Amino acid sequence: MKLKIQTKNKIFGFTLVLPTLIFIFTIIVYPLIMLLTMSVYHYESLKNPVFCGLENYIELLKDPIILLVLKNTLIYVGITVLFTLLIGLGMALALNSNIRGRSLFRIILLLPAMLPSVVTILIFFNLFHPRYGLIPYVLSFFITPPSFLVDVNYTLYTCTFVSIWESIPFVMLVLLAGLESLPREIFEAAKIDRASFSQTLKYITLPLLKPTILVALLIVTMDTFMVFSVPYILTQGGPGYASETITIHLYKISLFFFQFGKGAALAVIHTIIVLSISLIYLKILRR
Amino acid sequence: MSEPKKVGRRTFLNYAIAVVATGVIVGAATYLAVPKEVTTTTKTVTTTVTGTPTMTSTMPPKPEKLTLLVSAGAAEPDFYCRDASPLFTMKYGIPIEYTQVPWDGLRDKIVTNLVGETGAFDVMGIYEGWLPQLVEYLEPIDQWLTDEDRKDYVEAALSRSSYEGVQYGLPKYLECRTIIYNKEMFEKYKLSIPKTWSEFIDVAKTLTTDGVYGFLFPAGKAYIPGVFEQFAWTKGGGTLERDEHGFVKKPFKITIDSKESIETMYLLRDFILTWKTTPKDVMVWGHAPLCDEFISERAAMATLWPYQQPLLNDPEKSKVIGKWGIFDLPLDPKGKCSVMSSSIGFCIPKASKNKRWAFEFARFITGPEVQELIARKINLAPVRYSSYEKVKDDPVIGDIIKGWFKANERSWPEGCFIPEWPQIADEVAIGCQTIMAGEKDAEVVCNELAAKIATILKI
Repeated sequence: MKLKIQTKNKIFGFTLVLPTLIFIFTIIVYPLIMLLTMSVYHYESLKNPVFCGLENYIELLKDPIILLVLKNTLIYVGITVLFTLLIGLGMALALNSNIRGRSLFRIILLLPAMLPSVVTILIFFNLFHPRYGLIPYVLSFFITPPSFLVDVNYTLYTCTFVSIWESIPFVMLVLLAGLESLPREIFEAAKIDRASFSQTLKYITLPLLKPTILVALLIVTMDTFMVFSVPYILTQGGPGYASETITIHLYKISLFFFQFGKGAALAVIHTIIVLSISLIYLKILRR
Repeated sequence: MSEPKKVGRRTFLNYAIAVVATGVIVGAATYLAVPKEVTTTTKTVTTTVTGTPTMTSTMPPKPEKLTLLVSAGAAEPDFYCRDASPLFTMKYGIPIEYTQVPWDGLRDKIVTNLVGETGAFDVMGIYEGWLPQLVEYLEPIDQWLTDEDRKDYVEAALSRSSYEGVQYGLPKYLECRTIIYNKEMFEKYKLSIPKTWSEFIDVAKTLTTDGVYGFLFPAGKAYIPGVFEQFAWTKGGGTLERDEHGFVKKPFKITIDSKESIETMYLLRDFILTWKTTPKDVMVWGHAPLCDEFISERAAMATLWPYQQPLLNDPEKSKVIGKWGIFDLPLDPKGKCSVMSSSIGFCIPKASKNKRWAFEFARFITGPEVQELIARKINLAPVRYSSYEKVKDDPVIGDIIKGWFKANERSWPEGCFIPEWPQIADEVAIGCQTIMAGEKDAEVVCNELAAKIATILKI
C-alpha cells in the first residue's frame, strides 16, 4: 500500500516534469547529439556525408589557423571580461551610494543594453570609420589617429572595446542587485569602527559579493566566448586573421566552405573549452 | 570542511562517467544506424527540349503568388522587383512577392533557405561563384529551356548559370568591371588614358593630391580576390590557370606563385604603402564606399561595375555628372585579359512548390521585352541578342550599350566554377590583406598560398 502510494507519487512527479524534459531534450540534448554526429562525418557533398571518425578533430588540431583564432578569442575574452568587471563594479558601487540623480544615472547607464546589438555595432563602425568617423577626427587634433578598423594592431582591441561597452550594463545590474541585497548592519558596524572606503571594500564588500561577482563573470565569459556579431560586422575578422575569433572561423568553415563536419567538430571543441572554464568558475563558487 | 569536498568529487565523477557512457552509446548507435557506403547520385544528363513549350497543356495551375529573392541597394535588382515583376503579374495574373537583402547577407539567406529546403523562395538570384556549391539544391532547367531561347541568350551569360553541362539558371545580367576616371582631373593635369601599367601608376601618382586619391579599388575580404584576379590576368598571372575563354583548366594548375602573380601582389601593396595613391581604408571597403568617394570627387580613378552608373548620374549625390569616362585596365604583353565579368542567374530551388511557373517568371524577366527595357532604363547590356539588336543603334544609349556588350564578349568570368572556390578565395583574400598591410613579403605569401590551394584542391 505504502509502495503503491510512493510509486503513484513518483509517476505524478515525473508527469509534471515531463514537458520540461521534452523541451530540454528538443532544444538542448537533441541538437547536441546531432552536432556530435555531424562532427564525425565528412561532407564532400551536402547530401551524402561520409563517416570519418575523429579525422575532423585531428585536422583541426593540426591546423595552425585554429591556434591563431583560439589565441585571438582568449585575448578577446580576457580583456573584455576584465574591463567589464572592473568598470561594471565601479558603476555598481557608485550607483549603490547616495549620489544625486541616482535613478537618472541608472537609466542612462542602462541605455547600451536597450539598443539592439547590431545597431550598437553599426554606430561604432561609423564612429571608428577611418574617413568620416568622429573618434579618428577628434584624435587627429592631438595625434595621428590609427586605423582602428584596418590596422592589424588595433582591430582586435577595437572589437573588445565595443564588446565591453555592450556588456557593462548587464554586469552593473547584476552587481548592483548583489550590493543592494547585502546586509546593511555590517556596513554600519564598519562605519562605526571608522573603516575607510578601501578597507570596507576589501574586507567586507568584495568577500560578501564574491558569489554575485562569480555569477556575473561566468555569464559574461560564456557570452564573450560566443561573440560573433561584433567582429563580423566591424572587421569581418580581418585584416587577415587579426580579429578572427573561433565563432567567425566556425561560421566560415560551415557556411562558406560547406565543411559542416569540420564546423561541427570545431563547435564541439569550442563547447568543451567554454564548459571547462564554466566548471572552474563553478568550483570556485562552491568554495 | 573535508566531507563536502568528497561528495562533490564523487558526484562530479558520476556525472562524467554518465556523460561519457551516453556519448559512447549514442555514437555507436548512430554509427551502426547510418549506412557507411555512400550512394552516388547519378549526374543529370543534359537534355535539349526542342520546339516551343506548350504552356497550355503542360502548365500546372497558377500559384497564389511567386516569391523572389534578390540583392538590395542597386538599380538593377530594384528594376527586376519594381518594374519587371509587375509586368509579369499583368500578363499572367500571378503576384510576385519579392525580398531584397543587402549583398553581404544575401549568400547566407540563400544558403540557409536552400540547405534548410524551406521552399520559401521560388526564384533566387544566385551569383556565379556560389553556383557550384549549391547545385544539389537547385532544379535543372534544361527540361523547360527551348533551343530558340537558348540561342537568343548571350552565350557568355547563359554559361555562367550552368555547371558541368547542366543549366541551373537564366542570367539576369552580365557585367564587366572597368576603370572610371574623372575627365576634368585628367584634363587639368593634361593626362591621357594610360595604356601600360607604368603609365597607369604615373597617372595615379600625379592625380594623388591633397584630399584626392589617385586610384581606388575595393580591398575588403569579399572583394579583393576578384580584384587580384583581374589585375593578375593583365600581367599573365592568376590563382589558377585558365583557358582562352577564362574558364579554369582541368587538371588544375596553380599559378598564384608565378612571377606575374607575385608582381600583382606587389602592385596592390605599392598602391597603398609605397605610392599612397590608395588609402589603407580600402581594406574594409566594398563597391559602394568607392563609388561615394568618386562621385564626391575625392578619387580620380576607381574600379566600377555598370550597375553603379545610376549613382554617377544622380543629380542629388553626384558631382561628376557628365565628367566621367571609362577605360579598360592596361594589358601587359604577357597579359591574357583585362576585363572581368560577373553574372547572377535566376535559379529555382528544388524545394520550390511552383517550379514550372517560377521558370516562366525567370524566363519572362530575362526575356527580350524586359531586357530591352533594362537597357533603356539603366543602360545595362541585355542578356538577349534580340534585345541587343533593338538598342544598339539607339542614338542616346546605343554607344554605351555597344561598349558594355563588346566588353562582355572579351571578358573572363570572375568565378572559377569549382566548389572549392569560396575557400580558395578566402585564402587569397587573407594573403592579399596580409601583403597590403605590409606584414609579410608577397613572394612568401604567394608560396604559402600555393601550398594551401594545393591542399584544398587535393593535388
